[in-house]
Amino acid sequence: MIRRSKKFLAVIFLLAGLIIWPYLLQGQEKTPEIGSLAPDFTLNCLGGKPHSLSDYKGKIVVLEWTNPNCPYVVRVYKTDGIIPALQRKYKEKGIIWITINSTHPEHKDYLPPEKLKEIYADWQASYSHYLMDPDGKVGRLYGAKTTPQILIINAEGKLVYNGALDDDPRGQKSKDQKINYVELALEALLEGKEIATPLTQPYGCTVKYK
Amino acid sequence: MQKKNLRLRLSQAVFIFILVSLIFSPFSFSDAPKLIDKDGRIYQLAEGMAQEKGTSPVKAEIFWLGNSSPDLIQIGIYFQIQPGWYLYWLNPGEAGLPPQVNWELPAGFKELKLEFPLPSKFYSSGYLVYGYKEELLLLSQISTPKNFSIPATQPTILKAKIDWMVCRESCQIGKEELSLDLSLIKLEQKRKAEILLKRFKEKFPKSAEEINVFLKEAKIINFEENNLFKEVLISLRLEGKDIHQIVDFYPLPIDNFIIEAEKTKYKSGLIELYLKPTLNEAKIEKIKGLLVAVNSCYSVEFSLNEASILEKI
Repeated sequence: MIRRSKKFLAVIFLLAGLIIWPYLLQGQEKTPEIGSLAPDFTLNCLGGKPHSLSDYKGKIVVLEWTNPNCPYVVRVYKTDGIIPALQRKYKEKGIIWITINSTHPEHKDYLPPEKLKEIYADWQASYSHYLMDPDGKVGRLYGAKTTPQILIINAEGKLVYNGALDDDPRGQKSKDQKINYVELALEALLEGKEIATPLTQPYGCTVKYK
Repeated sequence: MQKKNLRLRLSQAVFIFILVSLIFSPFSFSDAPKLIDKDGRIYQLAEGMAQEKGTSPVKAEIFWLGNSSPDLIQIGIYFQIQPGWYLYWLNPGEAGLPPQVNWELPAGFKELKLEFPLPSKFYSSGYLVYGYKEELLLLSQISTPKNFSIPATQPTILKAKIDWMVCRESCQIGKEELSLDLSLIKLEQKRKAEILLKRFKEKFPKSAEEINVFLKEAKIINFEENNLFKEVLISLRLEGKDIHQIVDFYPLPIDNFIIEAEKTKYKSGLIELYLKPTLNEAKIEKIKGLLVAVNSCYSVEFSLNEASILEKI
């Protein structure tokens, strides 16, 4: 009888450990800070082909979190065309622009790759690759909280910018009034200068993780 | 004896079943509704598109709420929010934007301040939010020309251009232009406004002088001296006769710093705030926010001029 109780207690402890484990892991996620090495990842693009960050070693890489059901993303793509213009401008200068969608498939904002292709083509997007992160692993790894949110990795593989696209969350400023943080950071990188504002508060909708 | 053993085994089995269900609960999925198109593809119509079809979850109204002094009127912007949706406070938490009001006022009128009531603190899809569910009243103090009285003798129109971000699982942006003619204030409107003001009265922050709580000690703890973009911890020890009334602290946004919302803590008179500087030379001079009591809240400002600066060991 005592032996059976001990076994029962052991099972309870094991199961209790299993319950707590995922929560402990969640709390321990360490997101990269400005100046630290950007962790590698592999995700499939809309066509299903895998792409790794390490494929672009030695290049400047932009990671842009997106969700076409977020009105802020709609504005910076479709209404104001800010992101497509940046994508075109910097792709021509050899910068890799990776758009990442971390929306969980069970979330109502989730759209399948074929639908995403249509929407972003309609918005004249010009990313290098559009990667799907359905389990949100890469989004969480990088601490992505909003859409849009932009991170920039320099040619040495270090994170050098994390935050908002610009200082105009409501889209009320004229082109001359607004500060486009991403453009300034990319220009500074191309000119070999220090980025004046490497961290800003991102704005927009939350990333729709599970 | 056998019966007893059987009962024991049964209770053990039930217990293990509950535990196993709990293990798998973090991995379980929500039952969010889905749409399937004619080709059998699954997708959901964007909620952002819903608004274009006139189904906004927020309805905004404008009210004259009385005079706070002879040359100062109170105008309320009231938001009725559909169940499940929420609007944001000035510090929205981990993401989001508060409603914005831009006034177009007649000559001689000037907006002095816009007050937000005490928000609720809650989690939405795993993110910490300071926001408002069901309803929100924003209170605008507007100064008037001398000897102005209501109802005005001639058409006096106040126009408020409002925009907001409203969310539940997804978000929408809304905007509306409201106008109020101060020469056409009716008794019925006045009654409605009085009821509204009465309901919200206790929710608006009171002055810090109305509570006996003061800053005893402030510390700024740097995590890495050589990295200007690493987070700092602000620790504020509060004391005072009424400290037992305080249950939480909601910080207001701080220029050139990102507040790590989910790490903000209040316990037994101690406020802890984790901040990330966004500029090289960013300095914090004061912390502003709301001291939350059980049935009210107080607008406070703590100076960090005397704070001791420490390095984390």
